Amino acid sequence: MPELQAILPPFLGIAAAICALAAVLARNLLRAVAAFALSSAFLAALFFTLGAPFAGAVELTVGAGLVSVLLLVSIVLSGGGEEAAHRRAGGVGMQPGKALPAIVVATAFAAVFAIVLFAAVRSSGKGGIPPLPANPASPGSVLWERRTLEVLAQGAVLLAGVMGVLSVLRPRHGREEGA
Amino acid sequence: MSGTTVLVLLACAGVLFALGLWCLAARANLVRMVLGLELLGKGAALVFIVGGRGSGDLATAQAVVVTLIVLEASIAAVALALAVQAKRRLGTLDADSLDVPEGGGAP
Repeated sequence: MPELQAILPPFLGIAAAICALAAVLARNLLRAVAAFALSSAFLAALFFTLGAPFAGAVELTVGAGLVSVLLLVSIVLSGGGEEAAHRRAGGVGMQPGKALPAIVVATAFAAVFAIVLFAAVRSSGKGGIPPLPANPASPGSVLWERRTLEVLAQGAVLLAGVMGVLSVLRPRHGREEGA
Repeated sequence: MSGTTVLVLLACAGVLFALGLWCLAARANLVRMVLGLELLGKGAALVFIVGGRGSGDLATAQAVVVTLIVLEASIAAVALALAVQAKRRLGTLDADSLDVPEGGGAP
């Protein structure tokens, strides 16, 4: 169905953006995490429809799954309550002094991005993106043959991350007893 | 894929990035700041995939996106562990209220 293939990617992209907006604006942290996970799931589906199943699978398992679980665990470990600044601001958790500059920076970024985007699409003509080649290279072979250093660095960063989490969360008996 | 579809997808990527930037700059809660950081990465990943599709080298784009997602997860884990520790020791997740006294411990 060519119509569905044409409609699905923009629909999934807009759905991911709307869910991200809901995650940013949600007052409750748990609802924010749920919206974030939904946004990641839409993004993973978008990757699948764009012909990138490898990235889609990793986004679905790590982006929507692991990171959401990490966020939920951290919310539970830190008490699960909503932030004090949220109650002070009486709204959606904005810092009163930083809300306006942040909106200005985000709008300026969006404007610059839109101008660059418009220029890029205009210079590339109206042809759009060509269809995928019949025998595309495998991401696995690209990772292991052309980007071996990246794979090794990923392993090192993951190991450093695990050691960092264990180091930060380990109980410090000596200091607590001395205090 | 038509030029309009590409434009819509890149606009969505821009929205994701801008939302992440906004969340990172304007929010006080440390968990929400990590969430904003993740949204930033998602916008960048979408640009990589659309760009890779456009250039015809989707495999390299996927490899870069996988690296990006793995690094994001690692950064999120460490940042959230720091947030939990800040809540335990200082009693708050408010970034502006984090005032560590000399010698550490609760203020």
